[in-house]
Amino acid sequence: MASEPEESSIDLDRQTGTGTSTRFSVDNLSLRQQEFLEGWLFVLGKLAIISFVIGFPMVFAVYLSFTDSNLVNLPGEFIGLGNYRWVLEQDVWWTSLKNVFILGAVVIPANIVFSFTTALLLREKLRGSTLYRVAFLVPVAGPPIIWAIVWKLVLFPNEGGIVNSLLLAAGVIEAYIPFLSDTAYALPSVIVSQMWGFGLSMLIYMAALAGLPSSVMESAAMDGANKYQKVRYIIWPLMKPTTFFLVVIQLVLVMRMGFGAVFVMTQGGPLNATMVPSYFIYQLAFRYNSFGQSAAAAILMFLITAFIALLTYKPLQSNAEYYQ
Amino acid sequence: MSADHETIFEDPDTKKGRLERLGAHTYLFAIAVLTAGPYLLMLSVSLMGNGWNPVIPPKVVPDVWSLQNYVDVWLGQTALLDRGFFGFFVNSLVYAGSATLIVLVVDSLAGYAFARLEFAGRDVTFGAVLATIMISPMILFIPVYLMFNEFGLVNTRLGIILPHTISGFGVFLMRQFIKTLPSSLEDAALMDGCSRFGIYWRIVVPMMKPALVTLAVITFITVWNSFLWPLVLARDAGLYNLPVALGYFQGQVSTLWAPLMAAAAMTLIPMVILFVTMQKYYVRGFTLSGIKG
Repeated sequence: MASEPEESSIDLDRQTGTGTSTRFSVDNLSLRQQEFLEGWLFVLGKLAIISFVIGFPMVFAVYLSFTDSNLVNLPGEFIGLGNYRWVLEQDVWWTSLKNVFILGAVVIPANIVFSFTTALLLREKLRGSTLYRVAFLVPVAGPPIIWAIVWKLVLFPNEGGIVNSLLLAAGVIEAYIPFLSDTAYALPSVIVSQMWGFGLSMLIYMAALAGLPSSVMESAAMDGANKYQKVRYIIWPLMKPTTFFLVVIQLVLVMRMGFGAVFVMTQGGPLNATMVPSYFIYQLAFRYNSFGQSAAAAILMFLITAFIALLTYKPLQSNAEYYQ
Repeated sequence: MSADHETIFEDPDTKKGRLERLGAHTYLFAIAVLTAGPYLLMLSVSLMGNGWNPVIPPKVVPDVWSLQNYVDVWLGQTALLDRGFFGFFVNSLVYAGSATLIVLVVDSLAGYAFARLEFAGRDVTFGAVLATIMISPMILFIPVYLMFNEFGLVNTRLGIILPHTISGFGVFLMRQFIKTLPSSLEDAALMDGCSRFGIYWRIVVPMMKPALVTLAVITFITVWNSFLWPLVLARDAGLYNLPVALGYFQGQVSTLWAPLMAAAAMTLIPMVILFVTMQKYYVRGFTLSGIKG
């Protein structure tokens, strides 16, 4: 974009939005037209990437979901809603939905409880606070895949397993438990392993707590509130917008939960006991090369996500406004 | 955290204060064991010179301490990894670095336009960019794979980098931040005949540095940790990033835990250092978006 900085006096024409512009070599554009052009030029890069990697592929995905496409049969015949019907008839699909909602129902509340309580306690200038903070941040700093690999090692099914040995020594169990290959234990094991990724939420609570006016705490002390009451009736309600934000973000992303863990620890098994929608879709595409069915399942997953986002949008909006 | 804030606990010199602190330490320590414990075991196993095998009692501390696993993995001298980890490390650096650069440029340009310029279609477009946050890679990977295949982008570095630059989050972050800046300097420059790009480059970008660092840190860590896109788009092991290499090799029939843990440690440690040193910036990304308490 060429500029002509030599003309430095204030140009009254430009202020009124009429007359010729000297900022572009292209003359005879009104200020409004020029801003229009500039605006679109500035967003062009992002829009190009989004259309290429999201826009066209989304349309293509919808199209694929209505065809019997697979690896050797591309683009495949149009079969209407056949794939959708097929997916909805699969028990695995419903199991995977049930599993991911159980996962979310445990992991999201755990995230809130652990992040709020640790953020609160780390305010207390305890010795070793920094060390605790680092410990809490480790799972979220690294790849989910490593998180899953280290838990696979911890849950090792026989004599080498550290959890198994501890439980055995404590007399809680009488024999080694195959945590990841027993239908009764696999899902709970995956869920327990996923409960510890609250580090980022903790940082956000810490920022919110640091922003509390100290007068709030002082006035509470004067009113004779005890510590529990302070936390329960003063601090916790003041954290409501933060809590709400954290819950909503996780709800919207709930359908993506568990992919890394399931990929590494169980591959959805045993007998689909740990199947989650994301892994089901991945498996349909890359194990069975069934692109049409996989696309249909992915679009169902997207619709559920959009529905959740729609449900939470209004409250989130009013919540944010209320607080500003 | 400032040192002068009001705390809840009693004075540490009182009996009650000591008890409260003891309780807090117990709770925090128990949780720390669950978050970081498995990673400490990872570190310990990675240092086992004789490898790790299932025995009674479980082997938790190395009997022979050694960095040999790290050397072997780095140079590709184990039965687990016949390819030097060095190459995956470089791939990860290239992907994360390039994606971060692209995101910084296109997101700050777009964020500036959405914050300061008025043009027809702006709000609708901004809404569309924001909505991308909702879209999961699961719905995209088949069509993107097929499309990229047509364009010759499958199994290329560019193809692997591109899907990591799509999120609308950065645009949102940039826009929110620019909106908090005073615009008087920009207006004056406009009057003086400075071009729009000149204003962006000479005035807005220097003021935007904190937000740019936030976005850079978030993007770099996200791409470094990315698993699904490289898994789908890299067919040749020479293009794997670290998480895909790990995911692939942990699935081998007989897992060699000690070298695998060394590989995991080498992948993880740079991110933990980055995350811990940059945590202030990471948080700012969320607080800037205006939805904090």
